[in-house]
Amino acid sequence: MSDVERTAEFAPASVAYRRNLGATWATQPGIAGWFSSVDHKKIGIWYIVTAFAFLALGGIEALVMRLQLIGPDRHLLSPEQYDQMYSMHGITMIFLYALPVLSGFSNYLWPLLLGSRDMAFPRLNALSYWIYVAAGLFMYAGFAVGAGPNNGWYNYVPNASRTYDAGMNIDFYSLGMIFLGISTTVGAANFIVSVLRMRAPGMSVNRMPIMVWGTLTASVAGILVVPAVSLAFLLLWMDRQFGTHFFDASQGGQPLLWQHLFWMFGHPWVYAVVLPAMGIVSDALPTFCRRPLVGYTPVALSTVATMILGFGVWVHHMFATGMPNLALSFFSGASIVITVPSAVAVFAWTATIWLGRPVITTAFLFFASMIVLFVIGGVSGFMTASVPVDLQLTQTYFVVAHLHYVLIGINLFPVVGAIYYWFPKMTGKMLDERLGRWNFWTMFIGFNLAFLPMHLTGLRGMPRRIYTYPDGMGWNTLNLITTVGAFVLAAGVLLLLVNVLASLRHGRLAGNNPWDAPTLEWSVSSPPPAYNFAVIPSVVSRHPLWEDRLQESADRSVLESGLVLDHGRETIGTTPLDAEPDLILKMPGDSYAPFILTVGLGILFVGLLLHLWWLAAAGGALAFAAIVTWLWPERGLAQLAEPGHV
Amino acid sequence: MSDVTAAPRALPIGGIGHIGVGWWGAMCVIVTETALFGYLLFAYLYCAVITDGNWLPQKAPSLHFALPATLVLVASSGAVWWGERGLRRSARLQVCIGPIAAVLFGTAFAVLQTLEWRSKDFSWRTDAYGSMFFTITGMHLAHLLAGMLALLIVALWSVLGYFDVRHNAPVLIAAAYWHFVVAMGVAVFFVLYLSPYLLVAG
Repeated sequence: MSDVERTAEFAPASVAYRRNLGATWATQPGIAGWFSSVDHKKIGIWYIVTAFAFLALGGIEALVMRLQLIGPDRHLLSPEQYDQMYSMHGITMIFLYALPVLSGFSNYLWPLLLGSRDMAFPRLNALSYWIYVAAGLFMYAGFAVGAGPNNGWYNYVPNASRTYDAGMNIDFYSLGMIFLGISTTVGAANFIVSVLRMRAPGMSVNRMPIMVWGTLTASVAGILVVPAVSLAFLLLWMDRQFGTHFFDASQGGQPLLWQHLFWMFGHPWVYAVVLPAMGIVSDALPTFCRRPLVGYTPVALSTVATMILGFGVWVHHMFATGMPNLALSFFSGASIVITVPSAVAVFAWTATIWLGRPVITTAFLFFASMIVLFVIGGVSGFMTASVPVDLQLTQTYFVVAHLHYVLIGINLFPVVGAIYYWFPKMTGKMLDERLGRWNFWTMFIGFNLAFLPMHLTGLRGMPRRIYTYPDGMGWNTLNLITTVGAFVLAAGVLLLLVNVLASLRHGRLAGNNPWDAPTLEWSVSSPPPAYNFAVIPSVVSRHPLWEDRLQESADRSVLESGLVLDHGRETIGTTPLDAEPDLILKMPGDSYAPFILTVGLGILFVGLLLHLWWLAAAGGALAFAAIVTWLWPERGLAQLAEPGHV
Repeated sequence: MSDVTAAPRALPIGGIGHIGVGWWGAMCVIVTETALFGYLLFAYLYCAVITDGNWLPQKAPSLHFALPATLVLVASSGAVWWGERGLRRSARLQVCIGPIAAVLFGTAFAVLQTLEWRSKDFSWRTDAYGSMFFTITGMHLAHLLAGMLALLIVALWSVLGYFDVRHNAPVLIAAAYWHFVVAMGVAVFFVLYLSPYLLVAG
C-alpha cells in the first residue's frame, strides 16, 4: 500500500481495532503526560480549571473591593491598593477568565461536536494553553510584588505613561498582554482551521452546531483585532522604556490613539467573550426543550452579523472624548443597530422554550435565566448607545452595572449551565441536581441583588473607579445592598465548587447520553475514549441522534460504521463548505515542544521587563530552537518526500 | 448535499500542498500579521490627519534609498516564485537556489534600510513622527528577518531531499509568507514615502 494515498475502508469498529486505537492515542501516564499531552480533551479541562482558578482570584478581588465600598469613608484599602485591585479584577475576569473558559469548552467539545479525533493543530492547542498560564502568572507576578497593573484594564494614557505611573506596574501589564496575545492568536487560528477542515463527512456548514458558529466568529474576530491591542501595548511600552512619543501630546503624539487601538480590539472582544456562550445556550437549551432550536439559520447568521457590526461600534466607548458630531452619530447608529441581531437570538430562545416541552433542570435554569439577564444588559447597553444618555451616564456605576449584566449574564451563567450540561460527558458522573438548585438560586439572587440596584447607584451619580466615597451622597444603602449581593453570588459559586468535588466522588453514573441530547458528542462513551470516534461518523442532519423521532427526511446519519483509520494517529480532513472527505490527516503525538517554547518566550518577556537583554536573547534562542524542532518534517506525519519520488 | 456514505475513495495522506491543514494555518498567521500592519499604518495616518499639516518633518522623506530597496524587495518575490516552480519538476537545486537568492535580495534590502536609517537627522526619540517612522520600518525589517530565516531553513530541507512534488507544504508556506512580507514592504513604501508627495501636491 502506498504511503501517499490510501482508500480507507468503510466498516464497523471491532474490539481489537478499538484497543489498538486506544493504545495509539493514549497520552503518556504521569508527569510526562502533563507537560507533553496534546489531547484536546485534557487541554480543554485544564483550560476550564485554570480559568475557574482565575475566576476565583478575580472574585476575591471583587469581594475585597466590596468590603471597602460597603459604607462611606472606609479605609480597608489604600487608594493605590484599590487601584491595583480593580485593575487586576478587570484584567483577570476579561482576559484570564471570560475567553479562556470558553476556549476550554470549545477545545474539549469541538472535535466531539464535529465528529473528529482532535483539533487541526494539537500541539498548537497545548501551546495556546501554556502561554495562557504563563502570561497570567506574568501579570500576577507584578501584583504579587506590589507592582500590579494599577490603571484599569482599559489603561488609558496619559495616566499610563511613565510621567504619571513610574513603577513597573504598567510594564507588567503591557508585556503580559503581548504575551497573552500570542496564546489567543494561535488558539483562534486552530479553531478556524479545525472548523473549516475537520468536520465529519456530511456536516456541511448548515449543519454545524451554533456553538461552533459562535466560536468560529469569535476566532475570526480574534485574529483580526488582537494585533490592535498587542500593538497598542507595544507602543506604550516603548513610550515608557525608550522615550518614544506615540501617545505624548507634547511631541506630536496622540493620547486618543491609545483609546482607538484599545477599543478597536476591545469592543469586538466583548462579542468574542459572549458569542460562544450564546452558542452554548443555542445548542444546549433546545435539549431541555425537547425540540430543535427555533430559527437555526437566522441565529447562525445573526451570530456572524453581530460580529461584523461589532467591528464598527468601538467609538461608543469614546463618546465623551470630544469627537466630531458626524462620528458620534455614525457610531451611535451602529451601536443601536447591533441590538437587532442580538434580539434575533433572544426571540429564537424564547420561541424554543415556548414551543417546546421544557424539562426544568439546573442547566435549563442557568440557560433560561441568561435570556433574562441578557435582555437587562442589552437594554442598558441600548440606552448608553445614545450619545446624550451616555454623556450623562459614562463614568458612573450605571456602566458598571451594564457591563456586569453582560459579562456575568451572558458569560458566567451560560458557562455554569454548560458545566452542568457537559460535566457528565467530561467525567462520566452527574452533578447533583438538588445542590444544583441551591447553586442556581443563590447565584441568581445574589447577582441581581448586587447589580440591579447598581443601576440606581449610577443614576444617582456615583462615579466608578473611586476607592471610597463620602457620607450623605445617598449611596450608602445601595452600596450595602450590592456588597451583600456580591457575597451571596460568591457563595453560589462556592456551591458549584462543592457540587463538582462531591459529584466527582459520589455522582450518579451518567452513561453516554444522560440528557437524551441530539449532537455527536453524546454518541460516544462518558468520558470519551482518547481517540473520540472509533470510526469517523457520517452526518446527514443537524441532530444525528434525533433523526428517528424528528423524521425530517428518510436519510440517517451513520455512527456505528465509518471510515476506518488506524495507521498511527489519523483523522479525516474534509472540504470547507460541504465537508466531503479530501484528505487523511496524520496527527502528531505527545510533544514537549509547546511547553519548551512557552518557557523560552517566558524568559524572553522577563528579560524585556527587566532590561536584561542577554536573558531576552537566551529566551528567544530557546524559543527559536523549539519552533524549528517542532516544525522539522517527520516521516511519521507524512511530511517527508518518499524515497522513490525524489 | 452529496451522499457521503457512498463508497470511500483513495485519499491523499498528510500535509499535502494547499489542502494540508498547515497551509490553512499559515494563512491565518498571514491574515493576523496583515492586520498588524493595517493597525500600524492606521496609527501613522491617524496622527498625520489629526496633526493637521504639522506631521511631516521639514522635507518629505527622500526616495534615495527607499525606491531601490523596494525594487530589490519586489525582485526577491520573483526569486521565491522561481524557486517554488522547481517543485513541479522535483528540482532540488532550484528549490534551494530560489530561496537563497531571495535571502540575498532581502539582505540587500536590509542594508539599504540601515543606510537610510543612518542618513536621517532625527531618531525615534525626536518626536511622534520619528517614533512612527522607525517603528514601522523596524517592524517590517523584523518580519523580513523572520522570513529570511524561514527561507534558509526551507533551503536546507530542500538540500536534505525532504521535498518532492507532493511533500512541499513548508516551501509553499515560506514562499507565501515571503510574498506577504514583500507586500507589506510595498504598502509601507506607499504610506511612508509616497503619500507625503501626494498630500503635499494636493
